[in-house]
Amino acid sequence: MLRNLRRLLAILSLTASIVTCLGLLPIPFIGKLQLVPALIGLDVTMLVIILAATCLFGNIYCSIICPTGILQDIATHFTHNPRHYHQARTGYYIRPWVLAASVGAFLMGTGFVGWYVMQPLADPWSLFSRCLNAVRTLFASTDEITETWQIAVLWAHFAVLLIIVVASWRWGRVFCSRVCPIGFVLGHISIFSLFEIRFDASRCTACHECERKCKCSCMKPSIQFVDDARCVRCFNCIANCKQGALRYYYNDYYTSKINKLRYPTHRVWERRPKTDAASAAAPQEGDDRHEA
Amino acid sequence: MKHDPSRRRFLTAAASMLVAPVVAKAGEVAREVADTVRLDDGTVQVIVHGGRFNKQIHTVIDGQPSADRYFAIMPPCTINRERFHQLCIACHQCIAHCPEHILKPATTEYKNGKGLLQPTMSFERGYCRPSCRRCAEVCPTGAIQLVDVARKRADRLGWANFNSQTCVTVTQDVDCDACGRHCPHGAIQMIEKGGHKVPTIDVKLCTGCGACEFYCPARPKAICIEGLMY
Repeated sequence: MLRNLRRLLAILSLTASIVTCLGLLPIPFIGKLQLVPALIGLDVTMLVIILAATCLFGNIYCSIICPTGILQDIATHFTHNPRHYHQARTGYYIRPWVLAASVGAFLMGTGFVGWYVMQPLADPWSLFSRCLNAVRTLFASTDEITETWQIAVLWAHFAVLLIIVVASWRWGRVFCSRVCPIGFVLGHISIFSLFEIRFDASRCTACHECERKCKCSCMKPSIQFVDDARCVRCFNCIANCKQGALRYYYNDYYTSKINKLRYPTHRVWERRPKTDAASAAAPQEGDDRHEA
Repeated sequence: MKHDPSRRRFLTAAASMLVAPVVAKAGEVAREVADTVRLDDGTVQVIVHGGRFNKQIHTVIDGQPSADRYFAIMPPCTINRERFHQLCIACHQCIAHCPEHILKPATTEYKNGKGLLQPTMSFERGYCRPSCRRCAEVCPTGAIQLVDVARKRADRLGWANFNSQTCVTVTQDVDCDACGRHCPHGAIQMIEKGGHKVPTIDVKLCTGCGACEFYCPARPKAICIEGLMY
């Protein structure tokens, strides 16, 4: 039910984005709904709405508003490639650096060329809108742009769009979990959100179905952990759990035994010898768990 | 009055002291010491680093000459360059929705690496209609301000400048008033000068909408828009 609601909102939002980005019909509202335009234009109302929604429901912005995220979700939908938690280890620490570079470029001001490079690359709305405008200009048979250099820029944008779609088809939401500074900020806010996806330890059989169906490779059923910094509340895990072991319920940040601010790396869990449940639960050296 | 060199020197020095801070401020904002001077025949000359050169240089794009502006034209209702570069997120919504197809992504139009991918104007396919606010309506950040139609009509994009060297009234000695007829603000009057009726631009009325440049039959364009400095 939650997944279908998410899908409905996401398809509405993406359709509006595509229609307005291809220049078919001006829908200004969908652009004003985005976070980076609200931040840069200081649209306080929209900022409060987005932040309040994130604090309540978690990172729903990335799954029902951000057009780049929804596009990747759709590409991910048409593949049977399983996503694994450990996939996200690669490049997991890129996002804070992208965020730092974007903020730094903003602070350096408009005289610095970094602002014109970081902002269009890192902002998902700007990237999506620009890529679709490139598609429109290249294939809609309008001879708007005729300079060779600008046509090269358009083809570069088309290539970026293809890379994002193919990479998400292959590995799921790659842009969001590696590059996007918006996803980084909202994800770390949503660690403390009121509602979050939680494992029911008594029901979970560690069948790893949720991990395979997760769009962001944020599920770790072996320790019953959801990486909220990447989870976009797509509810695929809840819809696919045959045991009903996953619930969208109140946050257990302060009662959980797992430190959710820290990322349990694949390396630590892979090195654990396969033993009985008691020794697996005991903390070991280099373990990212801590006693609450 | 008798010619007095010392008096002239004093006046020059006083004028320099008055003008110097203005020029310094201008250079600081534009990151380059440049100023535009309007001559009697309507041409605009750009002074850079003390040297003066006529900026009527034209490049040919796809067989059609396009004006090589020293200051690129921003979209309408952007208060100044600094604000526009800061607020624009280069999402190209204005480019996608411009009914005249005059906005295009900038590569090197804004100088010194500024404004990369942000929209700039060129008048090969139309001109900025005075009552059209489509770009402002779709702009998500407010970099292009959505103002009322009266303010949009009066918003200054740049100013027209005239080059008598390429105007067909001079080169081919024909009666042409394409720019004067199409100017939506009536800023251009055809005035007899040197045996030819050439356009004369009223600076107070001209908003730089580009109608004259778009309709000018001369190649390279005899009348073209120069963007604002700030």
